Amino acid sequence: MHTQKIIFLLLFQLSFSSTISGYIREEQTGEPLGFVNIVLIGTDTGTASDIHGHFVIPNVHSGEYTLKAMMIGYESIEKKVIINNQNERVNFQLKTEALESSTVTVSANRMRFEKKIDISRVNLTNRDIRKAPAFIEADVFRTIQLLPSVSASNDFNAALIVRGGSPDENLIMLDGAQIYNPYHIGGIFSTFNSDMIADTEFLAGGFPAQYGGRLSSVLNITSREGDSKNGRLSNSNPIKKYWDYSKVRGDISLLSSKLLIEGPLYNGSWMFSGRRTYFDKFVDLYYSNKDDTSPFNYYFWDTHFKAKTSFNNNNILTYSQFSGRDDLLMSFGGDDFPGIEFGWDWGNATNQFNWKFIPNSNYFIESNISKTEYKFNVDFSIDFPNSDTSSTENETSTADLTMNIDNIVKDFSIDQSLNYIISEYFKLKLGWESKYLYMDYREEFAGIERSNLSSEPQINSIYGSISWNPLPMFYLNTGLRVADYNRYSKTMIDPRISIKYNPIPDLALKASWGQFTQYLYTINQEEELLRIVDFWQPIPENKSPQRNEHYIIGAEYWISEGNTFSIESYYKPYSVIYDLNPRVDWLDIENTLGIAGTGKAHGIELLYRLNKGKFSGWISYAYSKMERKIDLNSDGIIWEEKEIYPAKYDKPHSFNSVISYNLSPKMDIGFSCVYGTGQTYTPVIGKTYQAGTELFGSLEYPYQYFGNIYGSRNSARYPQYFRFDVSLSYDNKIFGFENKMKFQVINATNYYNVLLYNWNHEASPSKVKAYSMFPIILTFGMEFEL
Amino acid sequence: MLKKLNLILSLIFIFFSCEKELDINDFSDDFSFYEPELRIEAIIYPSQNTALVRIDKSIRIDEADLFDCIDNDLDWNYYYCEENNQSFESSNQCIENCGGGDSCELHLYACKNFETEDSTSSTLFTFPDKTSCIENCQWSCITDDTGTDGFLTPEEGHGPGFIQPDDDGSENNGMPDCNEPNIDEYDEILPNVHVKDCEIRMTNLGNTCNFLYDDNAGEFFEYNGMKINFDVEVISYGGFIPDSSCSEFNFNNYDTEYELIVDCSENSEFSRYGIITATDIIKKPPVVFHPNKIEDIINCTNSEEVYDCLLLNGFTENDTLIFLSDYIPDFNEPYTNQIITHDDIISTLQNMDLLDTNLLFIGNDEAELYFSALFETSKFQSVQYYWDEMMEKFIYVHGHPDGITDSGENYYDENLCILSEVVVPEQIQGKFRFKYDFYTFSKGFENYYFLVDQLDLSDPIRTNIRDENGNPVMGGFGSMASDRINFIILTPENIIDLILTQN
Repeated sequence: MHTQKIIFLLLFQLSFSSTISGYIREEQTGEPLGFVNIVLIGTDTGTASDIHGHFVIPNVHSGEYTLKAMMIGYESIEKKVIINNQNERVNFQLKTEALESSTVTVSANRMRFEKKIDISRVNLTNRDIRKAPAFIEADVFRTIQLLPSVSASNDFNAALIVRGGSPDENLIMLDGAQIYNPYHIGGIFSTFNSDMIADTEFLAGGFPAQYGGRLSSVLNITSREGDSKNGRLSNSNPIKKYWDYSKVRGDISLLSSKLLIEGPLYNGSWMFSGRRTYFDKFVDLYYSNKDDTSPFNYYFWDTHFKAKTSFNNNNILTYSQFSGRDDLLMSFGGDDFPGIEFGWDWGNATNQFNWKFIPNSNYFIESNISKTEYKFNVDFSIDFPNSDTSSTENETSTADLTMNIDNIVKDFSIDQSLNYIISEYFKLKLGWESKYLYMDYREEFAGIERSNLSSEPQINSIYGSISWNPLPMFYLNTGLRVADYNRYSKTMIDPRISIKYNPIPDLALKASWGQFTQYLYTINQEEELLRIVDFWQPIPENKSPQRNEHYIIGAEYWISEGNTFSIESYYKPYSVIYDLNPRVDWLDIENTLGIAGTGKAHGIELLYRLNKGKFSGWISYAYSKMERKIDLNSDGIIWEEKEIYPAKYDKPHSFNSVISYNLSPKMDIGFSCVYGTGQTYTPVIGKTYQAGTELFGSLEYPYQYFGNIYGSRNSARYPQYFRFDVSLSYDNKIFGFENKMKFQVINATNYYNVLLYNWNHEASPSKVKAYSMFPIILTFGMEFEL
Repeated sequence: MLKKLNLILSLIFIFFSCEKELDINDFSDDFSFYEPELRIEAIIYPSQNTALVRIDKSIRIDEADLFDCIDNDLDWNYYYCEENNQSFESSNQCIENCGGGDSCELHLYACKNFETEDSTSSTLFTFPDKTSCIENCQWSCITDDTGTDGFLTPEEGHGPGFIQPDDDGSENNGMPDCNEPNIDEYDEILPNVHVKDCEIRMTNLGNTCNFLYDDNAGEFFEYNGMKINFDVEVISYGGFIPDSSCSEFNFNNYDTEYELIVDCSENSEFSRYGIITATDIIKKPPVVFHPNKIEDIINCTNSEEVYDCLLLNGFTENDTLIFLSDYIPDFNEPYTNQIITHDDIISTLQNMDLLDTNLLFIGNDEAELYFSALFETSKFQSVQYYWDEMMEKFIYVHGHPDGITDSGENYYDENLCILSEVVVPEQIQGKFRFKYDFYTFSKGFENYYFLVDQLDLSDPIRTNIRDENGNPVMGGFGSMASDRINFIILTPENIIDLILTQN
C-alpha cells in the first residue's frame, strides 16, 4: 500500500511538472562549460551542467522563477523563467570575469562534493595538464601518473598502472571511441595532444555500469569542440554562414611542433589539431651534409579533427576523427658486416559519429557509432655481404633473411544510451553496446609464416543504472551490466553499487562494490621495460574472461573551495587473471598464449587538493600491494617461490606532489615531486654456463655465456625512485603576437633512478652495472597564438 | 620474436641511459645464501649411436678465483726463439722448440695475412713492438695487448670511433690484463667448472652403459671478432662419454625408455644430491628430402609404416644440393660471348670432386631445404655449418630452434609433419660448401631446450632430472636425433670458370 502511494505521488508529480533544460557556453568562444552550477533561486532545486554544457532541472512546478548560472572565474548570470506546465529551454553564455567576485556561493566543485558519489574519480582539464611539469611537452598520461592511484613503471614508459593492475586493464577512450595503443616513442608519450583535450575523466575503480570490458580503470578523454564564435571571414563572404576560422595556435619545442586551428561551423564549431616531431629532419640534415644516408630515423605525427553542428534545437551531430602514426627506420651495415634494415610503424585511427537527441524534456538519448583501427608492422631484413667484390650495381636487392610482424585490431562499436532525469533525486540511465572486433596477428620469418592468429570477438552488452537520493544526506548509485561474449558460453553479469553519506555537510563517506569483466588482454611481457606497443588478444575460446571485484571505502573532507582532503582504501580480488604463458603450445597458440590464475591488490590512498592564494595542485600518498598466483609451468602445483609473487607493478609506497605557483599575472612556476618504492625485479643469485639459444644460438655452443640463476620471482626491489621537476612559463608578446615561453627542468636533482641492472659474469667476482632513467634534462619551448 | 623486438628497442634506450658500476656487496642479501649446484646435460645422439654427459657446477656471484686475469696457460701473445728465428703461439711451444726456452722472448705483435689465414709457426712473423711490426709487415699487425676493454685501438682514421686506448693504460703495456685475448679463455676456465668425479651410467632394455670422463669429450667453435670473418677457433671441453663397456649398447632404440643414473657422492660439495636419476623415451630423427619428392612424402601419411616410407623418399648421405647464387655478375671480358647451357653446368659439376652421386639441382627461387618427421614431435633444431678446407671439418655457422605451428600447413593427418629451412643462396667469404643438420628432440630435452627463456633451470617442468629426494636438478636428459643435408652454393662465375677449366 505504501509503495503504491509513492508510485502514485511520483506519477502525479511527473504529470503536473515541467523541465528546464539548456546549454551553458562560454560567451567568448561558444565552447561548452561543464560543471557549472545552476540553481532556481528561492528553492532548493539546482543541478550542474555536464561536460557538454548540458543541464536538466526536472519537476519544476508552474510559476515564475529566477534561474542562476554560476561558475568560479565567470560572471554569474540570472534569467527569469516562467513555467506554465511546459518544458522550457534556457541557454546561458557566461563571460569570464577579470576579478573574482563573491557572488558565487556554491561552486560546481561544492555541488559535486555534495551530490555526486564520485568515488575514485578525478577530472583534469586541459589547464591542469598543461600546468604540470612535463618532459618536453604536457602529457595527459604523465599528469595522471602523478595521482595517488596511478603509477608508472619507469621514465620511458607512459603506461598507466592503476591500483596494481596491468596497463591493459584500463579502458582508454577518446570522444567515446576506444584507443588500443595510446603511446608514442615506445611509451615516452601518450598519443593524445594535450591542446585538444577539454576534459579528462579518470576513474580509478568502482566505475559505473555504463563502462565495461576492463578491470581497473576508465580514462575518458573529451576533446574540445572549438571556438564557434570570432570568425574572421568578412560578413560579406558567402561561406561565412557555413564555415569560418577564428584562431590558430602553435607550439614549438625541441622535439615537435603543434598546430591547433578552430572556428565556427554552421550552427556549431570545428577544431583541428596536428603535431609532428622533427627529429628525423635533423638527422637527415646531418647526414646529407656528410653526403651519407641516415642510419636511423624516427618520427611521429597525430591529427585530430572534430566538427559539431545542430540542425535544430533538439539534435546535435558530432564527428570526431583521430589519426596517429609512429615510424621508425634503422639501416646499418655494409662492407663486411651484414646490411640490416629495420622498419617499424604503428598507429591508431578512430572515427566516431555521435548523435544527441535532446528534446525539450527531462530525458535525452545519445547514440554513437565508432570505428577504431590499430595497426602495427615490423619489417626486418638482413643482407649478408657477398664475397665477390666485383658485385656492384647489378646485385639483386632481395634480402637474405626477412622477418615481418603484423598486428591489426579493428573495433566497430555501436552504442546508445537513454538518460532519464525522473526527478532531482532519481535518475535513470539505460543503454546497450555492441562491439565487433577483428584481431589479426601474423609473424613471418624467412618468408615462412610462423604464426597466424586471427579472431573476431563480439561483445554485446546492456546496462542500466540508477542514481537515487532517498535521504538528504544519502546518495546511491547502483547498476548492472550484462554482457555476452561470443567465445564464452556464460553470460557475464556485473552488478555495481556505490553509496555516499554526508554525516556533516563538509564530510562525505563513500563506499563502492562492483564486479568487472575483461574480454581482451595483451600478451606483453610483464618484465618489459618499455610499453612499446600493446599486442591485444581475445580471451581464448571457452575460457573464462578476466574477472575481478572492487571493494572501495573512502572519505572526503571539504576544507574550503578547492581544498579537499580524501582518503580511499581498496581491495581488488581477481578471480581470473591472465599472464603470458611460458609453455605456449605451438600447435594451439591462440588458446595457450595466456595462462589463467588469480590475484589480489589492496591499498590506501590519501589526496590533498589545494588551492590557496597563488598556490594550486595536490599532494598525495599511496600504499599499494599486488600479488599474483599463477601456475606458470602448468604442472598443477603452485610453487611458492616462483608462482606466488608480487606483481611487477607492486609499489608499496609512493608520494607525489604537484604544485604550481602564480609568480605574477604573466608568470607561473610549477613543481612536481615523485618519491616511491622501487619496482620489483627477480634477483640474480648465481651463474652457470648456458647454451645460447636466444639469438639464433644452438646447442652446438653449450658454453656460450655465463647465464643468470634467478631467485624468487620479483622478490627484490630497485632503490627508491625520486624525481623533482620544475617548469616555468612566461606570457610574452613578440611582434604583436602573444606567446608563452616555457622552460622545464626534468629530474632537477639529477637523482640516479635505476632502470635495470645488468650482470657481467665473465669476471670474478661478477660485476653489476646499473642503467638509469632520465638524468637531468633541460627543455624549452614556445606557444604562440595568431 | 616479440621478446627479441622488445629487446632491440630496450637496448636502444639503454644505450642512451647513464650507466654506473655498482658494488656487488650491495646485493649480498639476494645471493649470500646460494650454494653452487650441479647442472647436468645428458644427451643421447641416436643418429651417431652415442651419448654425452656434461656435468658442470654453477658459480656463486662473489666467487673470486675463476677469472683471475692471469695467463695461466702461457699463450698470451707470441714467443720468439732467437736460436732458430721462429715464433710460437705459446710460451710452452717456444720452450719445447727452443732448447729449454732461455732465449724465448715475448713478442707483442704479429704480422698476419688474413687472406691466407695461414698462421702456422713457419709463417708466423712476430715483433717485439708495434713500431717494428708496422715497419716490417706488409699485411696487418695484430696483438693481444689490447687493454682491459678487449679492443685494439685502430690506427688513426680506421675503425669505429668509440674504440679508444684504455684509460688505465693497460693497452700496449706489455703485460697480460683482464679481458685481453687469451686471458681467462675457455681452456683456463672450463676445467674449473666441470665436475669430473661422478659415476655415470645409462640403462636401456636391461643393458647398461658406463661413462667415463674425457677432457676432450666434445668441442664447439668460438668466433673471434666479427663472426662473418670466420676467424674461428675450435674449443674442446670435458665431459663423460661411453666407455668400452658400451660397444654392445644401442643408443638408438627408438621409442624405448632410457635411464640416466648419476652419482656424485664422492664430491663433497655435491654429495647432498645422492643418486641422481632421469628417464626419457627417445624419438626418431627427421628425414631430409628433395622438394620434388614432397608429394611422395605427403602420401606417406597413408602408409602403414609412415617412418619407413619417409626414409624411402629421403636423401642419401651422399646427395648434395646445389644452389645458384642470386648474385648476378657483370658479364664482361672474357665471358661476354660465352654461351653456357644447362647441360654444360650439369656435366661440369658432375666432373667435380665435390659431388659423389646423384647431382641435384635447384635454382635459387626455391632455395629451401625440406625435412619431414613423425608428428609425435613438432619441435626441431636447425644448424648450419660450412666446410673449412684448412681444418678439414664442418664448422658451425648458425643454429636456431624450429617448429611447426597451428597454421595447419605443416602437418598431415596428424601423423606426419614437414618443415623447410630457407637457404641464403650466397657464398659467404668464399665459403661455398655447407651442410644443415636437423634435429628432433625427446620430451626431456625438448623442455630443457625450448623453455630456455621461459622457465628457470631448476623448474620441475624444464628439467627432468631429480635428486634422491625428488628435487629438480638443473639440466635435462634426452635425445637429439639428426638427419643432414649437404649443399653447395655456386655463383655463375664459378660455373663459367669451371667450364673454362674443363675445356
